[in-house]
Amino acid sequence: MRLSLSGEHTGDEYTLEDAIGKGSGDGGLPRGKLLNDFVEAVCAGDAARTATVRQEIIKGMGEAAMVDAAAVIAAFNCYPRVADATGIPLEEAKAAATEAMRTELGLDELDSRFFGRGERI
Amino acid sequence: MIDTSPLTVRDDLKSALTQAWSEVARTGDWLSGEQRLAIANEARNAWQCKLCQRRKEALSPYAIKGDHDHLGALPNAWVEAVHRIVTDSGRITESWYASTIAAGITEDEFIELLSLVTIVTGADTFMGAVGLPPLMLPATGEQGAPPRRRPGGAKMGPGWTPTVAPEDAGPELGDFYETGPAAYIRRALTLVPGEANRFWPLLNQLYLGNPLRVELEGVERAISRAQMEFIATRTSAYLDCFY
Repeated sequence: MRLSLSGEHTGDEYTLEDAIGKGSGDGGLPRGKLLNDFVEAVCAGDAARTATVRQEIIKGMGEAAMVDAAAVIAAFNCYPRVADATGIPLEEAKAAATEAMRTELGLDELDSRFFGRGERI
Repeated sequence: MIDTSPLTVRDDLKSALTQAWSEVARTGDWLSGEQRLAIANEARNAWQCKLCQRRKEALSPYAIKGDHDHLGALPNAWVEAVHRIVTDSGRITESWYASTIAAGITEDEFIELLSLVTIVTGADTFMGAVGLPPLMLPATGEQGAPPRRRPGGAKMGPGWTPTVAPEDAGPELGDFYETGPAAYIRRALTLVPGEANRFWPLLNQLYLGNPLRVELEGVERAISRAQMEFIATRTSAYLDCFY
């Protein structure tokens, strides 16, 4: 499944299966594999691997791109924690708009909050 | 440290990080400067906790009992809240939240703790990712008592904590709802207006002030919108969050 807010306008899409770890890894994006490696290294707390990938990003995309990629990883270490700890659900309109995508990717099996306030593992 | 680093960081991001960090050990809305400093230190310590590591590896974290490895500056219920948010937020349940409140943390204190823990985790993640040392915390917190006043208009929902909806917002929230989308996630911290106004200026610079925008016109970023979305989705998945 290819999906992107921006892709609807520019054709610059990415593969959502890759983004949730079910695909081959590059998302079909320029430097997607490199960015995926950066996410994995940072989120795993692997300082050595992070340093290696960081240098590859700087070399291939520039220092500013590395900083902005790091900033997005940091941001998404924040949003989920706030959503998870407060039980904030997906808005009904967003849930309806993404129903087919969630079914295809099996997301509802992973997060019962899409259906309400059910208890998870 | 971010100011003196040779790394080129956008001025708006540098400024937001510096501002957010300067507030960490200041007197909050519900917590003292010393309490906030203790929470910030505990948030960093949580990554070394063996109980949290065992829980993270377990099918259910709720089946694993034991004591946290902690710094001794916070009550047990507070340590549990900090550690769970840091190390396993994706499996937090409404029952866990209820037990946290029943153990003596008020709803308002919980929201301030959550925001603070998240800011520290986000800042540490950024600094580690770009290869800079963690920002330093002061040795002592600001002296003074927090006002501990709940804003008018706070009601339960849309999650399991009270929030202030845009239509109920009073002067305590200032222009909060005029400066960004009124998505549920943005409402999450509004029970503590000062904290909402500390958290979002940082997040607006780490990601986007308006995540609903489809293109980046007028927003200075060195990666494309699609690349940002890909990183965002991949990172959320890593935390077991599909919000």
